[in-house]
Amino acid sequence: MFLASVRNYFSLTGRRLIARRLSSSRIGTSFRLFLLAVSCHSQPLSGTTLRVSANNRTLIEAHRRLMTDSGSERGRRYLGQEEAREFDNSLFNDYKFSIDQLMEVAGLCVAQAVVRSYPASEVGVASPRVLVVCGPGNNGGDGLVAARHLLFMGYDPEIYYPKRTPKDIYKILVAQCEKLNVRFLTELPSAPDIDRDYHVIVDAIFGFSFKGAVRSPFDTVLATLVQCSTPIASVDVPSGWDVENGDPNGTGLKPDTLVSLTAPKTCSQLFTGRHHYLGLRMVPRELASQYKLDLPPYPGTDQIVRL
Amino acid sequence: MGYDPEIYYPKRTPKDIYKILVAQCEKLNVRFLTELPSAPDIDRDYHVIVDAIFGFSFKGAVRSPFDTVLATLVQCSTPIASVDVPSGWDVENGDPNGTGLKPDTLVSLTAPKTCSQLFTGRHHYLGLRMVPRELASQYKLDLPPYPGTDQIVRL
Repeated sequence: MFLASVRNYFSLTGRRLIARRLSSSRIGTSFRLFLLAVSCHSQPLSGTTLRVSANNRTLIEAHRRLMTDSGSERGRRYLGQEEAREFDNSLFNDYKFSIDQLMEVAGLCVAQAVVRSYPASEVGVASPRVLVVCGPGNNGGDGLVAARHLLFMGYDPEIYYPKRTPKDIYKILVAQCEKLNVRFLTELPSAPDIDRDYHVIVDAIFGFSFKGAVRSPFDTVLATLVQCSTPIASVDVPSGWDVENGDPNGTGLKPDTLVSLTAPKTCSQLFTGRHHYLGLRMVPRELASQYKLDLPPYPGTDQIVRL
Repeated sequence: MGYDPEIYYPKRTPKDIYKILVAQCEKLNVRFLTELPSAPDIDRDYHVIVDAIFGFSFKGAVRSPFDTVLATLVQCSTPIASVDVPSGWDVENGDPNGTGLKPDTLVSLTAPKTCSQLFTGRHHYLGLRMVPRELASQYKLDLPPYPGTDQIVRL
């Protein structure tokens, strides 16, 4: 019974249980420390949201430190927001990868994940229709690339790209799609219309840089998309989620598919959809070691792997 | 993909794109050879040779140092995988003099080139799955379908 409850702490539910129990004033300090020690051997979840009183805060800090440090010994680590930013910078500054290269491979991986998750044979049409919703940053750029590869893979993408940051890379990607006669919607349809007209939605709105409040027009975009029953495939981070803490208020998207890029982000542990892939098979071994990532092997020549 | 590449890149055109690609390989500790080993040494030390010397723009005589490079590679028994066009071949007429490489694998890019019909190696792939349907029609190319999400297809 004791072992079963200890094993329970390895699960996410167990960690939430720990959080609740830590808040309970009926548990003595030594038992709290025991719970912390046990919980740190499960997969790390940095920045766990805990509603605790002031006298528990030092325990929470210790909890955070333990989770971050010891996660490496127990297999896969996840990148937090700051780490993801540094990791990305390292790819550019230390390994000299270009944004074009990474964006192209990222978009290809997203397209492959969509086709694998929603094969035409299962969807029931020769060219499944995909609504690709692109945000203002690189996550949106990944979406623009994905749309193009979806087209080459025989799917029928349409793009909603309401807020276009005036960078050359995005302009070129838009031009490429236009030359390929990919339709750009002028407004986002209603949820019922989306459900009627599309088989899959690609969420390429916000990525690992997302912080703070959702700014217009994406507040209404997300409000529409959460009402859709059409399956959503999110690029790297489900839009509206906190990159570390996930979607505690339940206002973000609930994707059916998540395509983590380079390494899964912390919040991906809270993903409950059917298909989680890792893609962007371009992580130098040294960098993976440096961040103590225990990335899974990719099968053969595949550029994505199911997690 | 877990393989162990080493690169011989004797003549480097000073374009940014090539400089960046070289830098990336260097940062990843990929070794750049200063000279091409002898055929026996290549056969001893490598399992595969990737021939990325000349492509579809190749015309005329093979200029130094690639004349000696090709002369060495044709003596190797290590299988060669050529990128788009076997080096030393005429892009349309192939290798009538038999002095070009005899690759075991050919990776045609976008669409196969005329000379690929004369390819007699074991593995012919088509890759670069980025040909707009309109363009394929315009050139009356009857490109084969790619399986699923694959980026290459066996021809």
